[in-house]
Amino acid sequence: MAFTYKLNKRLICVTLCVFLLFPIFDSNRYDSYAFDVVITPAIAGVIITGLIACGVTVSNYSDFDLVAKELWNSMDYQLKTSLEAISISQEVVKQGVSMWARQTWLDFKASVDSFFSPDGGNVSFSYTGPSALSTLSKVPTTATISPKSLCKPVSSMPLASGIFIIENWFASDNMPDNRGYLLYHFVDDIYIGFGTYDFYDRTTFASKPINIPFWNSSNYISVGSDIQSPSRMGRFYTLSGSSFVQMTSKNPCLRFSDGYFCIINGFNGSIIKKLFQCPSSVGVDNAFNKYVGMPVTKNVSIPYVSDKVYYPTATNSVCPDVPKDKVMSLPLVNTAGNVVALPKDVVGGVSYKDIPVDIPIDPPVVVDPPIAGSITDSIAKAIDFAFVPKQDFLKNKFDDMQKKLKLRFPKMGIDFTKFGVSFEPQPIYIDYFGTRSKIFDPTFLIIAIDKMRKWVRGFIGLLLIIYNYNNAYRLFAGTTYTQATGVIGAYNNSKNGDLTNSTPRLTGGGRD
Amino acid sequence: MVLEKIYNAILGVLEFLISLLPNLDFLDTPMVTGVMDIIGFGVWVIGLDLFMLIVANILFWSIVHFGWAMLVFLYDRIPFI
Repeated sequence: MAFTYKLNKRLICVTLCVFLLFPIFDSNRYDSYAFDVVITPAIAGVIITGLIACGVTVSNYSDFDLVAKELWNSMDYQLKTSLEAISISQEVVKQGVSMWARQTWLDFKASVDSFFSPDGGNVSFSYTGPSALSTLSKVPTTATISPKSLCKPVSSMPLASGIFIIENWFASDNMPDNRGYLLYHFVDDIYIGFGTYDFYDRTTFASKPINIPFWNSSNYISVGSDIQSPSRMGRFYTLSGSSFVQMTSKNPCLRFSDGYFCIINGFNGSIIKKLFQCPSSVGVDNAFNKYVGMPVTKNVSIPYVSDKVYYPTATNSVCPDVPKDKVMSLPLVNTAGNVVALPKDVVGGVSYKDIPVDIPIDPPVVVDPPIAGSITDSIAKAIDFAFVPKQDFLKNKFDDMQKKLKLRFPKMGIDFTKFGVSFEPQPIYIDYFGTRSKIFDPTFLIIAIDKMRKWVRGFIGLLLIIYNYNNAYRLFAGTTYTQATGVIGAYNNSKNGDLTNSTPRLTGGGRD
Repeated sequence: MVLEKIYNAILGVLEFLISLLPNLDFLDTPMVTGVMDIIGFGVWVIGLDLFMLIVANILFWSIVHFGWAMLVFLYDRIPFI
C-alpha cells in the first residue's frame, strides 16, 4: 500500500504549527523547569497512558511485542485457571461428592459392566458415601466413591474419541511374523495405520489375521496426545511423523497422557478400548493398575485365540482373585460397536461368568461438609472479600479506560492496538489537479536501513547511556555535566560566600 | 476489596490524565494516520523495543527530576530552614 497524501490546507497548517511549536519543547532555550519537567513528562505520560490503557498490541516484528504478548497471556491464563481451580476445589470439598463424581461413578459402573460382563452381569459395589446419593435409583445404596473413581471412563465420551474399531490385521510377507500391523478406523472411512505403512483403503487389502499373542503389557508406547483429540475427527493422523506406531506383541497397549488404549478382543470385529480417561492428578498408571488390576510395570502374558480375548493371567499378587490360565471370552463387536454375537466357546473351562470380578476400590473418603456460618467459614469469606479482587475487575477497568480514551478522539478512530506496527517506507505520491506524481521511491532506503539498522540502534543505545549519565549527574550534582552551575556550583561558591550561581536563571547562566 | 482499592487508586491517576485530554474532534483521520506513519517509520528503523526503551527512559528521568523538584519546593517552604 502506497501512501498518498493530497495537498491539504489544514494538514499543511497544522504541520507548520507543530514545527513552529517545537522550540518550546527545547528546554535548553528556556532555563526553566516548566517545560522540562511538566510539559514534557505530561505529554509523555499521556502517550504512555494511552498505550497502557489501550493494551498496546504491537507488531510482530520485534521481540518486545512477543514477550509482552506472552507475558500478558500467561498472566491472564494463570489468573483465570487459578481462580477456576480454587472455585472448583471449594465446590468439591463443600459438596463432598459433586455431580461430576456422581455421574462419573455411574459411567464407571456402566463401563465396568460392559467390560467384564457384556451380557449385563452384575458387578457388586458397596457405597458408603453421603446419604443424598442413595436417593438416586441407579446408584446402589452401598457404593464407594473414591478419588480414583474420578477417572472418567471412556464410555461417557464421544464414540470417536474413545472407542476404536479394529478393521483388520495385516502381516506383511517381508516382516517378521510377530509384527502385526493394525488398521482401524474411527467412525467411517478414516484409517489409522500402525506400522510402517501409509494409509490404506481396506478394500485394497486382503484381511490376513495373524496369530500373535498380545497384551503383554510390560511395554507400551507413548504416542502423545494427538490421536485422542476429538477436534481431529475426520482427519488422518500420523502418529509420529511418517512412521506409524506398531502394536505388536510387545506393544499391545498405547499409553496416552491420560489413558490407555488396549486391544481387548481379536481381529475382525474386535475393539480397542480406551480404558480410562483420568485427571492428571490421579495418574493413568494408578487408574490402570487399579481398575484393570494389572500393573503396567510387570509382565502379564495371555494366550491368544482368534476372536477370543483372554483375561490376563496374573503373575503377580495384584489380581489374586483371577484364576491363572483361565480365559474369558467377550462378545464379537462389529465396526459400529454393536454386539453381533455372544461368546459360545469357553476356553479353559471357565466362562466370564465364572470369573470372580473384583474391582479394587479404595476405602470411602468421608468428607465432612463445612458447617454453614461457622467462624472459619466467615473468616475465609472475609479474606476473600478483602483481598481477592473480582475476576473481571481489571478487565472492566481497562475497558472503561479504553472507552474514555477513545471518546477523546471521536473522529479519528485511532486503533491503538495498531500502534507500533512498523511501516516500511512506501512510495509517496501527490495528487494534484487530477495527476499523480511519485515524489519518493523508498527502495534505496529499505536497502540502506537494513544494512545500517544495527549500527543505528547501537548509536542510539550509546546516546541513551550518555543521556542516563547526564541525568544522573544532574540529579545528584544539581546540574548537567556540561553546566558547572547549580547546587554543587553554589556549594562550591558558598565556600567563598558567593551565592550568585545558587539559583537557576531564566536567561541561563549566572548573574555575573 | 483492598486490592481493588489499590488498583483504583493507581488507575485513577491514569484516568485523570486521560480526562485532561481535550476532545480532539477537529483532527481528522489522515493527519493522525500520517503521524502514526511517521512514528511507524522511526520504529521500523530502530525497532520498537528501542523506541519503547527511549520513551520509558525519558519518562523515568522526567518523573525523577519532577519529584525531586517537588521535594525541594516543599522543603523550601519550611520556615526557618
